[in-house]
Amino acid sequence: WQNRRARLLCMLALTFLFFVVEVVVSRVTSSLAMLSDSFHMLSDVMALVVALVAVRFAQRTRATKKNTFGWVRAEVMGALVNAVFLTALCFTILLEAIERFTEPHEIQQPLVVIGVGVAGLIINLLGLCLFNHHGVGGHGHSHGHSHSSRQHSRSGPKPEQPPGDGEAALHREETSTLVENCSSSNGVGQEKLGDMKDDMTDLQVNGNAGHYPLDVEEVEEDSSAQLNMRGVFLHVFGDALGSVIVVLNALLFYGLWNPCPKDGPCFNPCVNNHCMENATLSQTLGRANSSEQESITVAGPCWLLYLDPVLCLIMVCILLYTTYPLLRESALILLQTVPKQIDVHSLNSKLRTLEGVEAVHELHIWQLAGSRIIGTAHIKCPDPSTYMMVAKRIKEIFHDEGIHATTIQPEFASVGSESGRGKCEFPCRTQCALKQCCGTGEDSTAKKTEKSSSLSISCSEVVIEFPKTRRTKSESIPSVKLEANTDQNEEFESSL
Amino acid sequence: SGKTCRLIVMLVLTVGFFVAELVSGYLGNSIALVSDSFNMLSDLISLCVGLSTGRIARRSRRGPRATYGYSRAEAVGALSNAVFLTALCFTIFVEAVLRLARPERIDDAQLVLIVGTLGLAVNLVGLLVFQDWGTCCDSPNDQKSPEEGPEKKKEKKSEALNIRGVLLHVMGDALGSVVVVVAATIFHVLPLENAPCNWQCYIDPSLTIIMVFIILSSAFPLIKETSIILLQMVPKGVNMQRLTDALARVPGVSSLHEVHVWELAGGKNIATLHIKCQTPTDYQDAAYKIRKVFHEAGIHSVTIQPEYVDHKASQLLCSSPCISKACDSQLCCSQREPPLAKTNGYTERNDSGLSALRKDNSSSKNDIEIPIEDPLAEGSIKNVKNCGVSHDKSQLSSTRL
Repeated sequence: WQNRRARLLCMLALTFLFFVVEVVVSRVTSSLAMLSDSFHMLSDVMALVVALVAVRFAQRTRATKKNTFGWVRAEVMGALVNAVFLTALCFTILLEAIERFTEPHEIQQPLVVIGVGVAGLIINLLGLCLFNHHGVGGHGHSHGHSHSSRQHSRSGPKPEQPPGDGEAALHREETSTLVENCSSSNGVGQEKLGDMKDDMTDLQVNGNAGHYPLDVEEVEEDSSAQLNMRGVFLHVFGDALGSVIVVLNALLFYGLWNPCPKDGPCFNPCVNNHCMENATLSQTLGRANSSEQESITVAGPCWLLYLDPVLCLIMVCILLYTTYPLLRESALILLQTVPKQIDVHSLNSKLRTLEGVEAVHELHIWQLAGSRIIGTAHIKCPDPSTYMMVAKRIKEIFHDEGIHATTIQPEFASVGSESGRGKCEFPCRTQCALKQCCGTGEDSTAKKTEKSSSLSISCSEVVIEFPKTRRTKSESIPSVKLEANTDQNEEFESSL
Repeated sequence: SGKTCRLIVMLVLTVGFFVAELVSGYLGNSIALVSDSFNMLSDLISLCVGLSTGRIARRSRRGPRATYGYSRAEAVGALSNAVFLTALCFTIFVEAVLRLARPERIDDAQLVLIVGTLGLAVNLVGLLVFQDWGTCCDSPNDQKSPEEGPEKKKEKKSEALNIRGVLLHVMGDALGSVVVVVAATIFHVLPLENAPCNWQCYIDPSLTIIMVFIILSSAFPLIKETSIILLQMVPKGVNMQRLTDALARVPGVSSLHEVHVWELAGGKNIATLHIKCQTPTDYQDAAYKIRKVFHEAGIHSVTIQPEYVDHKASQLLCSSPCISKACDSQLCCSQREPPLAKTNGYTERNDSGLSALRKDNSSSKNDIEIPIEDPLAEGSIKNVKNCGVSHDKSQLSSTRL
């Protein structure tokens, strides 16, 4: 992230400096066009500031009191803000272009405009080079190898080029430690520790293990930071396009335009101001008719005046086309959708077909930022020992999909309850269904039975069913819990 | 239905007025009128964004693409509207500054005044319409019992987040119309016939700048509120310190870690945590109490992962993160950094746990033991079975390679 920050700061300083220079020059030459172009640079500065703030925030990956996930999502939000900002700017440029269509302006002092436009273009190209690293596509860099080893092979296509021998060996090595771990565990405790030591030595024997800390930071830069930098890149790209248009327009204007000389009659057919100028127009025409020896300068080819808005329209189209994917991607992450490389149905079926797993519900997969994908699931098992057996397999399945932060809640089916397998054993009270993340649709039968038993329902009450089979171990339960075992449906009134 | 009819009327009215204001702005050479007309267009866009995201969010069906549904669309829509408005304010600010640098006068003050007043009327109608919309829009909850009061308010708040974005635009628009009317009135009352610009020409841009600041000051709170949701921050009513203290006091819980609380949208809070217990019965009995604690804090979707204490491992570290240490960077919170975790003061292992923690902290970070998996010591037979099962699976995994 040091790298990113340095680049952003550098570009920020350059752009702001250039903005100041443009303002001063426009004041000296009293050119309005340059002043308005300088404010485009200011919008660039704002985009860079947003990106910088996002980068600063996103460094803090530790959980805090205010944010239990750390601030890694800041970069995705920065990308969204930049994308929307860019869209709004396109919108205003579009409106300005339409305005120019109805009332075309001549460019005053094209030479100055060319000069400053070229300088701006150079700065923008510099910025493009700085951020091209994170340009529109991915980057096939030396970081690529560690990136692809993170996203494990699945049926879906790989984002980067296929890894070389080193990474495949790494992948195989990881899985082989699992195999080793499984097959050699004959008990708990010491052997477990022994296996652990084996793992560590294995990792060290393979020379890549030492690279992990470095690779981690580099991989960090890969996905979520990439979004943020893409936003900045698009801003600079739009600005560069704008500078290109300004320079092109000024060049053509300087070359081809036939300006009205300050003295002498001049007929300007292109600029038609209503009302006032019609009077002067008729005057000049009248004078021209009277004295035909005087040559009348007609202001240059009119199409030149419309070049500017047309080019602006093309630029707006290009910008919108390139901004839309960024907007979509960051919005999808923020909406807590499933990342595109993961197929929830197949994951669900893989989990269900494990022996010992009766049902899977409340399966949620979402992307925090970048490659950090989080999953939660409720797994229904017949009893705790079966769960112990499958717990590791479940984690492996998630790991293979690329989901490494999971929270698995085991639920043990209540024998003798007529409810279906899909029912969640630990929902909040049914009245809280509105406040739950997802409606408990399967609970329709259960709702009725529970409602009849309890009066004056409010969301503050919690009811839970305790299946009788678990009471066999009641001798080990301290006395405080025996009260809970007596009633099946017990209502607790909350202190709310 | 009545709502859609009103909406369509509002849309048509706004489009018509946009065109009228644009034309008369150019005729009358008033920057305020032109910017006001663009404000109307942006109004339309924000209205479309707000309503479409509201529709998406209300549909909110869970599918393979979005396991939580799309209820967050409102927050994203509100953020987009607020940022859009900020960008527009920025451009209006720029144009006002340009006008200050080179002042021009309003030519046809009367026309501008008339159109400006009509525009203000349209904006006020819009404000009224959307105020009404905000309060009556949560019709699905109308049939519930009156105890649903607090939930209904929360639903309203989430709808309001979306509508607030649109309302912000309409309000900015209304302010713009006010500026137009004031400037035009001054020019109408004190006409400036061909004389060079005096103080009157500076009224328009300076009032516009003031208006920009007013709009921005009301846009930022909206941005802050949507950020709380979108950045997965702890929702406002929840005090993490108190919550974790209450959770740690639940009997049966040796320690807890990886506690995450966040708001999906509109008052729906979600939490996940890992707890360490001694035995499965501890877990089952503690689970209910844990849910009660969360329920009282207003969090109703909780996923609890039990981990069983291994005597060798540290009390505070996760017993089952992903299956290998290499995944550490992909975890939502890195295991290498000391976790925010709490130990339960009730267990006898408290001292050993603390000393283990101290030991862990003193050793280098890369040496923290993260046992890969921790099956219970419930007899060797089961473990052999475990091996058998996993051995089969390991064969499967090797073929997968």
